[in-house]
Amino acid sequence: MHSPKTRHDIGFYAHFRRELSLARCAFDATIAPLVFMFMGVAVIPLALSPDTVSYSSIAPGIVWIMVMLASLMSIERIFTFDYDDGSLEQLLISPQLLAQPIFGKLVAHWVLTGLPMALASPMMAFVLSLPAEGYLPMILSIVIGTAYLSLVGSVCASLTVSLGRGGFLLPITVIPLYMPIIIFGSATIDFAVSGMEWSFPLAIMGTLLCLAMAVCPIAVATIFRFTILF
Amino acid sequence: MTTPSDKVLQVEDLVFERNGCTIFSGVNFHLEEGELLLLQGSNGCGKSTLMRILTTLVRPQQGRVCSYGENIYDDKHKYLSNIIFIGHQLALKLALSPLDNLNWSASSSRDRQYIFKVMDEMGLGAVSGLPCYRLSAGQLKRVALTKLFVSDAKLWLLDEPFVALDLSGISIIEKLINRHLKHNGSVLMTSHQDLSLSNIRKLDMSVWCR
Repeated sequence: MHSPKTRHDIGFYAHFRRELSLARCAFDATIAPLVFMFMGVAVIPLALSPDTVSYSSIAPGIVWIMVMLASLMSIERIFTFDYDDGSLEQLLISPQLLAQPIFGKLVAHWVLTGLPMALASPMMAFVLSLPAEGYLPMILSIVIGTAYLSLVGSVCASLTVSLGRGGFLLPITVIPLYMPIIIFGSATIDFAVSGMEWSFPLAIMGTLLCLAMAVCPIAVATIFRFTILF
Repeated sequence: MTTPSDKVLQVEDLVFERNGCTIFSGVNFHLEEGELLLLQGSNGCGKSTLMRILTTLVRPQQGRVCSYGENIYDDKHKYLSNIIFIGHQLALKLALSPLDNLNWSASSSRDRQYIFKVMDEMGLGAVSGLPCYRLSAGQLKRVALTKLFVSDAKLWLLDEPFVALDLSGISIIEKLINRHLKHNGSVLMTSHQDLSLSNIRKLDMSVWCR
C-alpha cells in the first residue's frame, strides 16, 4: 500500500474536522434546520385549536414529522457545495478510499443537525405539552433516528447532486426510505407516554442505524465513482 | 530512444462520445519527463474532456492511457498520487482563508512556514488570512495555482491555468512551470494564451475532432 501523501489522506477525522470548521463559518446555514423545526412546532397550536385536539396525543407524531422535514431540508445540500466548487472531483482523484472521508462528512452532518435537534427537542415537547415520561425516549429516538436520516438521505443526495436542479427528486426518493424511522421513532415516544416498554421500537431503530452505517458510506462512494461525469 | 515505460503519459487511440456524438477519435500522443505539452484547439473540441480522461474522472469509450508503461486504471492509486489537476473549478472553500485552503491540499511534508513563503512568492502575502470570498477572481486563481507549489506530484494537468490572471501572475506561473520542468516534472496544459516559455511542444486537437 502507498503511504499517505497529502494531509487529507487521513480520511475520516480530517474530513470530520473540516466540515465542522466550514460550518462555523457558515453558521446561519447550519442552524437553519433547527430554526425551521421550531417555527413549524410554533405554528401548530395556531392551526389546531386546543379545544378539539389534545396536543399530548399528537405530539410524538408532530415531533417526528418536524425532525424529518428539518433533516430533509439539510440533507439536500450536503454534497452540492462540494460538487459546485470542484472539491468533490478533487476528492475523487485523490489517491485514497472514498468511503472514509464520506463517512466523516456524514458524521459531521449529524453532529451539526441531528444532535442539536435531539438536544433542543425538549423545548419542542414542552410547547406540545408532551408528558414528562416521554422526554428521555424522545431524545434517544431523535439521536438514533437523525443519524439514520443523515446516512440514508446522503445516498439519495449523491444520486441527485449531479442533476443540478434535482431538488424535487430528492424528497420523492428519500421519504419512502425515511418511513421506518418515522414509524418507530413516534412509536418509541407513544409507547413511553402510554406506559409500555419503549425500548423495543428504539432497538429496531438502532438495528436500522447499524445497517445504514455499514452500507451507506460505501454506497455513496460507489455512486460517485459511477455517476459523476461533469 | 525512449521506451514506452519511460513515458509519463502514453495515449493510444482514444475515442470519446457523448450522447451518441463523437467528440474526438484516434487521439495519440505521449508526454515525457521534463516536457511541456500544450493542447490547443477551438472551443468545444474536447480539450477539457481529454483532461478529465487523464485524471480518470471520465472513462473513454475506446483506447487506453498508460503511465510508465502501465494502464492508469490498473493501479489507479499509484497514478493518482503522481498527478495534480487544476481545472476551471478551483476547489477552494470561500469561507476559509487561502492559508487554510492550501494547508488542506498541501502534501504532508510541507509545513506552514513553507506555505507562507510560497504564498509570498505568488503575491498573496497580504491576503493570506482573509476569507476567500473577499478575494478577486485573479487572486483566487493564484491561490488555486499555489497548490502546485505545495504538492509532490510530478505530472501537472492544468486546464486553462492563465484565465483571470494578470501579466505578472502569468509570468510567475511560467517561471514555476520552468522550474518544475527542470526538476524532471511534466506539464500538460490547455491555453489560448501566447506563452513566452521555450521548449513547448504544441498539439492541435482539431485534427481529432469530428
